[in-house]
Amino acid sequence: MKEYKIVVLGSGGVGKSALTVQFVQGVFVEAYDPTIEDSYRKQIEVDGEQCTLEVLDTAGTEQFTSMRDLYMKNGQGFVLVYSIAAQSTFNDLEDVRDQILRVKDKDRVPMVLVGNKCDVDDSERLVGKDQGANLAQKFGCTFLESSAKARINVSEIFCDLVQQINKEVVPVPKPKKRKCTIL
Amino acid sequence: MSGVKFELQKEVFESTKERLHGVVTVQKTNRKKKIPAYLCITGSIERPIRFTIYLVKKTEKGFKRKQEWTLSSLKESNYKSKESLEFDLQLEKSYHWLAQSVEEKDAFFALLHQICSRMHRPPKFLNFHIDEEDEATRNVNMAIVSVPKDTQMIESGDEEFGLTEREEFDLEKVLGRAENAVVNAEAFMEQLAKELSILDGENIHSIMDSEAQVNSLMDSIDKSISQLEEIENELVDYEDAVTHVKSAVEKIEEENSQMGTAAKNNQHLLSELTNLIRALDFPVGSQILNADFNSVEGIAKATKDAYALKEALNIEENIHPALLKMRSVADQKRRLEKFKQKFSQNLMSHLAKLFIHHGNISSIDSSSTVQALRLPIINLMYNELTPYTKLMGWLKVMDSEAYGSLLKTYTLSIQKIYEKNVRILFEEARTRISGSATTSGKLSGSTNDLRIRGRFFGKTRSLANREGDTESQGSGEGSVDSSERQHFYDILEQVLEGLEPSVNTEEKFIASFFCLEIGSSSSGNVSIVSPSKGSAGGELRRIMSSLFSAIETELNSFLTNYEKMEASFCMGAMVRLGNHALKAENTSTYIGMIFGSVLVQEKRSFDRLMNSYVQAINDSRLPRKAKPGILAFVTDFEDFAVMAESIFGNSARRSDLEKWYVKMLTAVFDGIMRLAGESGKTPGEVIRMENFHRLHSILSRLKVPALEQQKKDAKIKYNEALNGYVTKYFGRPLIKLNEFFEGVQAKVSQGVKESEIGYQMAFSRAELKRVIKEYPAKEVKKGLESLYRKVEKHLSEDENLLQVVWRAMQEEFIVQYKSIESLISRCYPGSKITLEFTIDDILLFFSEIAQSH
Ligand SMILES: Nc1nc2c(ncn2[C@@H]2O[C@H](COP(=O)(O)OP(=O)(O)OP(=O)(O)O)[C@@H](O)[C@H]2O)c(=O)[nH]1
Ligand SMILES: [Mg+2]
Repeated sequence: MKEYKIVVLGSGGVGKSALTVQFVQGVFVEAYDPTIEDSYRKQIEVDGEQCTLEVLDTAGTEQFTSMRDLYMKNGQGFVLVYSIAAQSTFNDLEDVRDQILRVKDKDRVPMVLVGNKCDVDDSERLVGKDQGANLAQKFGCTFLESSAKARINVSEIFCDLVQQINKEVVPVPKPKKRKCTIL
Repeated sequence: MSGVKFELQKEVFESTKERLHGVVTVQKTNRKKKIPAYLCITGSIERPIRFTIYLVKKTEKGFKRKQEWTLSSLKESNYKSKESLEFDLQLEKSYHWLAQSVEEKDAFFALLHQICSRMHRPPKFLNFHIDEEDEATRNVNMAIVSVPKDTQMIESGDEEFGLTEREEFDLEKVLGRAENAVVNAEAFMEQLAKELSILDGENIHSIMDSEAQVNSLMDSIDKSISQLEEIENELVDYEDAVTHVKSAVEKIEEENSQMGTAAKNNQHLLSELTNLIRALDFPVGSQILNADFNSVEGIAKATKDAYALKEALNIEENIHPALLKMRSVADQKRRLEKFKQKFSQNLMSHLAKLFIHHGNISSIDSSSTVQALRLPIINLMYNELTPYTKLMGWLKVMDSEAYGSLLKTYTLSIQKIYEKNVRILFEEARTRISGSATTSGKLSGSTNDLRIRGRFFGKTRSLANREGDTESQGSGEGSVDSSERQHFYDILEQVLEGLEPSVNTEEKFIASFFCLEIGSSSSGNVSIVSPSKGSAGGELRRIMSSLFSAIETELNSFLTNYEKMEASFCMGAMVRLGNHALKAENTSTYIGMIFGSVLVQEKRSFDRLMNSYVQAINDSRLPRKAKPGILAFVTDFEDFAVMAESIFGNSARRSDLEKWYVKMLTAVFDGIMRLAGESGKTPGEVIRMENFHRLHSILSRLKVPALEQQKKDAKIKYNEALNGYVTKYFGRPLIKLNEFFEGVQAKVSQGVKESEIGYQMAFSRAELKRVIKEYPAKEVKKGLESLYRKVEKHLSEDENLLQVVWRAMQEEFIVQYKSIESLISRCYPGSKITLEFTIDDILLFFSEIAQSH
């Protein structure tokens, strides 16, 4: 069976763990306990094929940022989560995406941009859907608004990522920018 | 006609000082009612002559001007034809009129044409021909206005030719006087000639008379002419003088404005120069090179001078770039540049000496590290260096090379202090752990000799034998007791507490001293701004990691070392590290990050350990004992949970533990069911009953809210097992009676009335009595005794459920007894048949049997 290493990234409290647990165990975690690092396994069927996902739920807290390089090196697909109720969590993702591309040394990496907590009242929404869509377009990746609480678009995130990884052509190493110089 | 004309002139135009030149009597073409009106052309008596066209109506009260147009507003006139009385005038709009007669119309048009022909832009005349004009003029006796030949007719109407009314009148009067004489023309002429000559003579006479007067007049005229000439000459003189003055004034004026410009320029130059001099001025001069860096005042003065120098060197910002090309400016700049270089050299060497000095003195003494288990805070150095902070800021801007090299010197000198002390700190921590452990000896001595297992692994090997375990199976005897565990955690806590303040103080100092401060993260721990983002932040991180790189390695090896002896140490390490790393004030600090990375390692160890427990449960086998009793992993779970609760308490990391509780319990449940199915001698029900009973009581004692569901499930499973066991092993001690009544039931269901069962052959009263006889009280008791022995053999002492089971069986027996009794009373009413023992007997048997064992 094919195995997929998926890493969930995003600022603290955006609902990375809630999404992951909802996906893997089908329950919503109401309490907020900052994650250190949790790894889950789950089998799903995508396009008629069984596959095993190894989902790494990471910490959004700043103290753990030094681990990110390693996560990015080992992951195949990335879920970039922000909360539609907190603008700063949205703003943080551009750096994360840049770091992924840098670590992977690629122009494109399988990735889904996720605006979580879409169940909240309109009055609490601070990041517009169009803002998310625009950023995803800039990233050249899929965009979904999700809710771990209301179970909206949860498995879709992971299915899409598996499809992206399947579609990924065998990576041709990016040609180094430096050219040979003849002395 | 002329009568009307006369009237019009008198009544209408006299008052307006106009002369009527022509008039035509007209009617509007479209009017049925024929009120005559007069279309008049007039010219003003006053010059310039203005021609106007009037439409005048005659009413009872006289003439009335209805409309008027200036002639120039006439754009077009249409004569139409000679046969028609109609004509059109195009004024502000088109007017159609009918003249009273062709003659009048002709005369009017002739006049109009004549006047208009002198105009600048004459209107168009349609269907009107000039040659008809003469005829018309001749035919109609009308006054013809002669218009000056001058083209600028209106402005400059010259003398008017033709006779004026008065002249005409005079002439008529003269002619009137001579009316009678016409007959005698010759006489009349003579008379006239005579009169003329008389008049001539008189004329000459009067002329002659006035000669003298004329002469004197001429004289005075001559005189005034000569006077005029004189005045003129004088005037010319005056004019000359005035012209002179005028040119002089002009010259003065010009000079004045030039002087103004010059003054303004001078002012400009002055201010520019003042600016330049102020900008370039550095009064301290070479004194700055003698700056005294050893006193606070000296440093303050040097700081002030250095910033003044910076200001002076910053001239590009203050003065016009063109001025930079000036020699003196360039010279001064060079001079200042030299000061700067020399000064920064002095400053650098002074600071470098200070750094090295402090690096040396502070690394000598490590006693405080040992005594307090605390990394030193180099306050002595901070206090001495802080006054230089502003100078450092100056250096960073003015001489980045010197700044960079100072940064390097600082790092190298201070590094030693921390490297050494970190090492000593951890050494001391190890010593303290083993030192206190001498009583039990478990944590002392070299790690190689240590065979320490978690207590609950030692007692039962099921959890202890984890994969990748290098220990032999018999290593259970060496275990860490809870006071040793506590001691380890206490020391770890002291180490973490001993590291934090020093590292944080150093970080704050470096940030401020080397001007590497970054805006502190605004959103607290909800932000994941990468530290590499700001270059200052990145630089700070870099310096911090070269100063404290030892911490992460030391801490990691310290923990792995002890976890090798006691894997469960990672649990407490995780809790303690979590408390420190996730503190709000450590959000963007270096130590927070170090703790964070070590914490991730500990979390991984923890997950690995928990996973190995789960694995151990899944791999566990039934013990080869006759009675398996309480399975090892069930008691292990309790031991583990008790220890874990004491470590985690209400810490923030509790959720990590609870996740594993759930997984572990799932494995425990599955394990009990699995092993119950595998058991040989002992019934599976007993294994399930005993273990779920135990698990339920463990969970009740633990009181973990997150495990409420598991507790309930354990209870359910226990009850299921108990019921299953009783049903299976108590069975039916009065089997023949049971079978008898099953037959009865079958008949009843076939339609036989219960009261008539006794008349059936197979179920007669006699038959019933016979079956009852087979169960005398003594037999029943004997049967129960053997059952008791069997149950006793099944159940283990671990859980001591014998009484519970025995009681359940007693109840089951009573239920069966009561059901038989009720069937007898229903099917054999009044027969007085009873069983050979009573419920009281049953209760007595059960208690007697239980007591006798
Ligand atoms: N309304 C709503 N709340 C949510 C949703 N997802 C998560 N939450 C809540 O948001 C809080 C944080 O969720 P977590 O999943 O723990 O956040 P996280 O991203 O894992 O945070 P870190 O582990 O610190 O990085 C919790 O209280 C959740 O109950 C959602 O879809 N809707
Ligand atoms: Mg989380």
